[in-house]
Parts: sequence; C-alpha cells; structure tokens
Amino acid sequence: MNPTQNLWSELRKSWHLYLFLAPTFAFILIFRYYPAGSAVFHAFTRWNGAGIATWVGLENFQTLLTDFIFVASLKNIGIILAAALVKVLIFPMLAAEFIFNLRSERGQYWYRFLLILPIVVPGIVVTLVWRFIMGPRPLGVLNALLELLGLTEWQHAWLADPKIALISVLLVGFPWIDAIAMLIYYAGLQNISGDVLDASRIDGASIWERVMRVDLPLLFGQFKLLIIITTIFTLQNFGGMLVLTNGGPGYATMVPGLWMYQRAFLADRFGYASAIGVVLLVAMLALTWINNKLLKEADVTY
Amino acid sequence: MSTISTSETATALSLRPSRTRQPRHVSNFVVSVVLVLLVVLTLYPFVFMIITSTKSYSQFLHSYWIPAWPPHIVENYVAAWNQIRGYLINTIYVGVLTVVGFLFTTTLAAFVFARFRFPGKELLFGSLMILMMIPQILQLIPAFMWVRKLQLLNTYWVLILPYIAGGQAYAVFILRTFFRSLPQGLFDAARIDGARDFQTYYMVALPLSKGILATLAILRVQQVWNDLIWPLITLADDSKRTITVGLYYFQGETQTQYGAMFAGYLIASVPLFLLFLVGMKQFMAGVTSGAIKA
Repeated sequence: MNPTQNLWSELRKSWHLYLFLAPTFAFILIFRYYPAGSAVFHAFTRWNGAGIATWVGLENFQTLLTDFIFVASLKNIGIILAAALVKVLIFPMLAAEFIFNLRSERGQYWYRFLLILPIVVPGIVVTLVWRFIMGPRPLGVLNALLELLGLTEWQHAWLADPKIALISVLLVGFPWIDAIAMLIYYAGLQNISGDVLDASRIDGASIWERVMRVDLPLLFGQFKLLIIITTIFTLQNFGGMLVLTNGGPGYATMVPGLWMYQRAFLADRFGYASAIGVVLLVAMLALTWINNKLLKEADVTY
Repeated sequence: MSTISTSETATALSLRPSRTRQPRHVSNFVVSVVLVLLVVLTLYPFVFMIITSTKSYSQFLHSYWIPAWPPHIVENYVAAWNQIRGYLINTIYVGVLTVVGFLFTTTLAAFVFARFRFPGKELLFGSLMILMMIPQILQLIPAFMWVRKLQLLNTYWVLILPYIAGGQAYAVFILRTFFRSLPQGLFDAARIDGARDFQTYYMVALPLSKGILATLAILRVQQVWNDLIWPLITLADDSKRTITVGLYYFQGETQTQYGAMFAGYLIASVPLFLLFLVGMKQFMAGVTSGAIKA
C-alpha cells in the first residue's frame, strides 16, 4: 500500500471524527476567521457604509499618526492600563490574603461569597450605578457624601469636568476587588503546601515575612496570568467607557476602542476604524509577548 | 531557601496531628475588621441601589441615605418590570440557545481532540488554538458588515451564532484537558458493551463532566449577559433588544423615576443571582481547580 492509499484509508476510517469537528470549524470559519481576515484587509482600504472598499495602501495608518484624538486615546489607554494592572495586582490579592488568614473555615466561605457576589450584577448595571454615584449635585452619591461630611469644596462634576474625568473613571469600582482575580489568588494560596507554611512558622517568620517571602513568590503564576488577562481585557473593552462618559467631555476619556466604534458608526469610516482594530491587535500581541518574555524566567516552586 | 531545609524537620517535630495553618501572629480581629470594611465598600453601591429602589422621587429627595416610609416597592417594581420584561425574556432566550449550541459544539470537538488520532489533528487543533491570540475587537467592524450582508441584523441569530463562535478555542482547550484525564478503562468498557464513538461521548464523557460544563456554561451566560456593544449595533429593533441595551436606553427614558430605574437594575440581576446560587459551589470549585487558568 502506498502512502496516499494509506492516508486515504485513514481518512475514510475517521470520517465521522471530522463530522464531529465540523460544527466548531464552521462556526469559527464564518464568525472568527473570515471577519478577522476581513479586518486586516480593509484596514488598507477606504470602506464606506454601503460596503464599497477602495484600496488606499497605508493611508489609514498615516492618518492615524496625525489624528490627535487617536493619539490622545493612546495616552489615556496607557494610563488606564497602568492603573488597571496596579489595581488587579494589589487589591484582590490583599482580599485573598486576608480571607486565607482567617481562622474559621466558615468565615472564609462567607467572606469569599460576599466579595464574589457582585459578579451576578450585569456589567452595565455596575457601570450605570457608578455613573450615578459620580453624578452631578445634589443626587450624585459621592457629592452627597461630601456634602454630608461638610467637604463641599471637594465636590466636583466628576465625570463632566475635563480636568478630572479620567481620574474619576479610574476611581470607578473602588475598592477594586475583582471577583475572578480574588478567586484565582485564593486558589493559589490554597495550593501552597502546608509544609512550607509550617516551616516558615517554625522559623519564626511573622505573618508579614511569610507573605513577602513565601506567598508572593509562590503566587507568581497567578500574577502573570492576571497581567495578561487584564491587559487584553482593558485594551479591547470600551463598553464601560461608552456608558460612563462616551469618551468625553471632549475627548478627555477617549480610548482607542471607542474611537474605532465612533469612526465606524458615527462617521461611516469603516476602513479607518478597521485600521484602529489592527493597531490594537498588534499592541496586544506585542504586550503579551513582552509579558511572556519578562515573566518567563522567575517561575517559582518550592 | 532556609524554608526548604527546615520543612522536613518541621513535619518531624510537629506533635499536633498536622493541621497546617493554625496560630497566626496577626489577630483574627484586625483581619475581620479589614474584611468587613472591604465587604461594606464593595457591596455599598448595590445596597444603595436596593434602598433607593423602594422610594418615590420625593422620598429620594428628602431622605436620601435611609429607607423611607411607606415603601413604594410594588409601584416601582411593577413599572420597572413592565419596561424590561421583554428585554429579559430576549436575553434568556438568547442565553439558553447560546449555551446549548456552545456546549454541544465544544464538547464534541474537545472529545475528538482528546481521545482520537486522525490525519491533520495537530493542524486543526493549532488553527483553533491560534484564535486565542486574536482579540474580538479586531473583528467588530467587519463582523457587523458581514452579518448585515447575511441579513441577520435585527434577528436573535445575529447574537446567538457569533456568541457560540466566540469562546470556542478556550472552551475546547479546557474540555480537551478534562476529557484526556478520564480513565481509558471507562471507554474500553463501553466499547465492549458495543458502544460506538458517538455513544461513548454522550454516555461516558458527558455525564462525567457536569461540573466543568456548569462552570463553562456560567461563564458563557455571564458574557452574554454583559455584552453591550454587539447587541447595541446589531439590534435596532427595540422588541429584539437584550437586557444590557434595554438598560442603557432605560436610563434616558425615565427622567425622575429613580426608584423604578434602580428596581429595573435589580430585576436584571436576579437571573444571574439565581444561576449563581445553584452553581456557586461548582463555579468556585471550577475556578479553583483551574478552569480559568488557560
């Protein structure tokens, strides 16, 4: 039997396996590969709302360089991403540490439950509630609270003042205990072997020393995972900003994803918007690669 | 590190039957106070939402921070329910069909990748996995143009089909790892009993993976429940809209009905809350055992 016949008989033998794979591949070909390829192609075209595309080479990318709103959106997303990383590396981790250090198992369960609970509230509701909290006087919760405390000079139009709108956006979600991140840290802490914890105790390590010398190095994998997840999520998720400020006032809180959306659906510049999508793709691939490179070395197991 | 060298001694010297984390240097009291504070700060926005959802507009103005008497619960919740009922039903419909289609396709593919050898396997698996590197935002614009061409705009399918396609790579990866870990003996036994490949899938593999399926289903439903942009651009017809889009516009329509507005927010959270009450144990175990770690 020659190799071709061999392959043919194998193919015939496993035709039903391909049938099982067919639904998955049909879905990803039609709704993932095709649109992704189309995005890269149309980034080099002028593509209007009627769907007519003309090849323009690198024109869209050149325009991006001089588009001051796009440049401002890059600066904003840089700040937002840095803040998001700081938040996810610190606050859920602290919450997980505190819960883990509780003596009672039931206490651990209930604090975990309560801190995870917000996950059931749809994202749009969380955003709308925070928009209300940061709303104008007299009904905005934050301003009402400052009124109550007699700190009227601290009151602001939090989301409407171009000078502080971006800072206000960063404050949303305080105290920033992301439920999934906390569960991931908690699982990481649970996986630290009891022997290591015992040993650090017998060595006379204080809880602070144990956290710094044992827990944090052993949570390295979790940190790395969350850095990658958070980077990818933050760069592409602009629904929250759309609801919160719509990029305003002016373009004080504009982010690339939202600008892409507005260029496409408000200005009918679908090719230009596709080019923004391609820039985001490249940025994400680059950041993921850098993360992997930087964080590869120090994998720790005791 | 010194901790390693002492760990054996530590176990040897340990007189207690080793239960590891016992005496702590920071008092439980301090830890509890911090945790209570964190819980209060985290949940307060939602508590405010619940309290406000029971007030009339004038009650909200006059007693801003505290509950008011008499409560306007029925009035506010009926008003909110009438406004968002349709959106809620749409979302549940879309969510159920998405999850069914999603689990059916991903389990089949993962099962084949986990337990069979066939020509082109590596190539096919790789071409699926590479999707994890391609962010959804890249395809937002062309996907819109594409579904418009396919005349799917303003139908439920414009949500369901892309939602099924959405998390394939990740779910197949997780499920394949799981199916691989099942003992071969179970499949052999089923084969001896005369089961064919497809029968071993739904008689052996599926029943053993309820936990992981529940976790994946919850994650998928949560994503459907939270998506704003895609339904916003593809559903112009109000009667087809899902809950996120409904709530997004709901804000604009009711100028001063804050009670009803917050009641609507709460009603929108109930289905996921129920889902989590049922699946919370599964979900926490799933996350802990690595369903979320890619």
